[in-house]
Amino acid sequence: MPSGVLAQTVSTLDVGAGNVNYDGAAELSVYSITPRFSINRELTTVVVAATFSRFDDEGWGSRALAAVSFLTPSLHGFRAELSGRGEMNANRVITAARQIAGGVRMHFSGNSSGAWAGVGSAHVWNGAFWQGSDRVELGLWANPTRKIGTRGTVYRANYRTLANTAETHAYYQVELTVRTTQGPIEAEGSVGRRVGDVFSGTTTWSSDAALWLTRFVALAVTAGKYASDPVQRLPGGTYLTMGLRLAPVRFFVSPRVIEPPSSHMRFTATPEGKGEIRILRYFGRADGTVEVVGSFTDWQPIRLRRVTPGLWEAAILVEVGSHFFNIRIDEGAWFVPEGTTPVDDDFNGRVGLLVVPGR
Amino acid sequence: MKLAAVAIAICLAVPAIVGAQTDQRLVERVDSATLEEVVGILRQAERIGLPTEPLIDKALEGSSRRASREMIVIAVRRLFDGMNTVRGVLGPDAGAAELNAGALALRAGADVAAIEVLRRARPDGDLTTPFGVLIDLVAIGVPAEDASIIVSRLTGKGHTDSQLLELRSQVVNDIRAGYPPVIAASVRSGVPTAAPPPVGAVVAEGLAGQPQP
Repeated sequence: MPSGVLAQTVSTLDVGAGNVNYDGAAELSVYSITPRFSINRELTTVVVAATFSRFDDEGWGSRALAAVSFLTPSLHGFRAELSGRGEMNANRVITAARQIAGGVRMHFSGNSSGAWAGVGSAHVWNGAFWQGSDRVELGLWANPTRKIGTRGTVYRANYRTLANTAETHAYYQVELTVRTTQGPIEAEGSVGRRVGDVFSGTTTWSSDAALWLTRFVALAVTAGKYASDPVQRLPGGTYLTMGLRLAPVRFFVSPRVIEPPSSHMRFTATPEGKGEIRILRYFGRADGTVEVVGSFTDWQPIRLRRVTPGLWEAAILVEVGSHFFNIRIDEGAWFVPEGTTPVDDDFNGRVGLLVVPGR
Repeated sequence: MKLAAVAIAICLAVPAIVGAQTDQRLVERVDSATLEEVVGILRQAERIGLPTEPLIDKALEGSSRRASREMIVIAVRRLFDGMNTVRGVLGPDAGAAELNAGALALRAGADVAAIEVLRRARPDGDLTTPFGVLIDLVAIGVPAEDASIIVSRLTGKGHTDSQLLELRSQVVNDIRAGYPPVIAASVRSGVPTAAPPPVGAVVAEGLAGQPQP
């Protein structure tokens, strides 16, 4: 995320039905509900997610995950990352498999591509005993979309090797992932290959596609084949689910925006005739005075004329260009009025941006 | 004859220097120590043909905010450097508003390459408004790199200044409705952006819809 901007919060809820076929077992119908909540800040990411499933043989399963990641600011394209993760799996057979993992990564990011390398370690409860596992990973990503003209397509490839310390299981995995956004469609697909003592070459794949019908409702289809997890003793399988993806929370927060004193106020700058005179109007409550100061007033306060209760205006020469300004009410503090974009000035303050077009 | 030529030269040169030194607004509102340094920058600007009005305006802005001498001088110097850089890309015919807006775009996070791309996108036209929209998009949360791509692509397609400002309004409305800025800007403009892939925790194995035993 860009410097100084925005926390982004997204919450989704998938409700769907489908089929699952676990290794060595008969095919089952399944109903699942998957809540997911994430917060992305400039240097911090938090994800909390879970899946609850009910099968037609009266079985059930659940999985919950909480993960957090801290990044350092970029230094010549390099960023370090510290991540932690807790995970729990439970079903009618396994009471609770648990995993606590942590790791460090080093990222290098260019304009349209980057790479990362990392190591991690996990402490795993497989339902019978605790054991440790270690992970090494290398990854590459590329976003050549600006060259080929499609929207938001990212390619990611990574290589991982994992070895658990107690049972000497070890595997290597290579995976290629493509994520794309085209209009209302979001899709991600991956294909991978695991090689190790218990896998002898297992191909895995997954796909997740969502068609957003409105800003908050999408049709979602997920399918895939995943390998067993020998460390947590979880079986592999294939699955296909279809359902709705609801996004009741999709918002960002810009904590640095100066809130105006009244939520009902508004500021406009309307051209007057063909010249560069503009009518500045302030709509809002003020008992005495409304003043504006900016690059179009030589940074000298100018009082707006009261037209009617709740409406003040002034005709001012505002030349073509980008202008900064503030207003104040009843000789209070200067602030950025609603309807304009607040930007940092050069003097540890905030000013409103007014762009006057030339043609 | 020689004396007359010298006199004419002096008559031509002095008003420019004195004009910068004695801009009445600065004299009245900026303290003498700050004024001396600001006038030095103004002289330098005049020597190389840069417009001084944006620099004077910056000093007045600092004065109105009761900023320290150091802050005012740094701000004026930064704007001088920015305008000089922008003029190096846009050429000697660039106007004061265009240079000022370009310098502000640099300050917002755009790079020189972005200004070059904008120049190519509108080779003969004024870039004041595209710069302004770029600044605005960055200020509302669109990464500078993405904002540069969006504005230059649309400008290259022939979008007018008013259309660019309309895009800005639509993006603001989308952000208020809950869309992340970069998504709103990308969708509204139809221009792909360079949002980085998720890192760390986000690349944990996908959970969406994946049932467990």
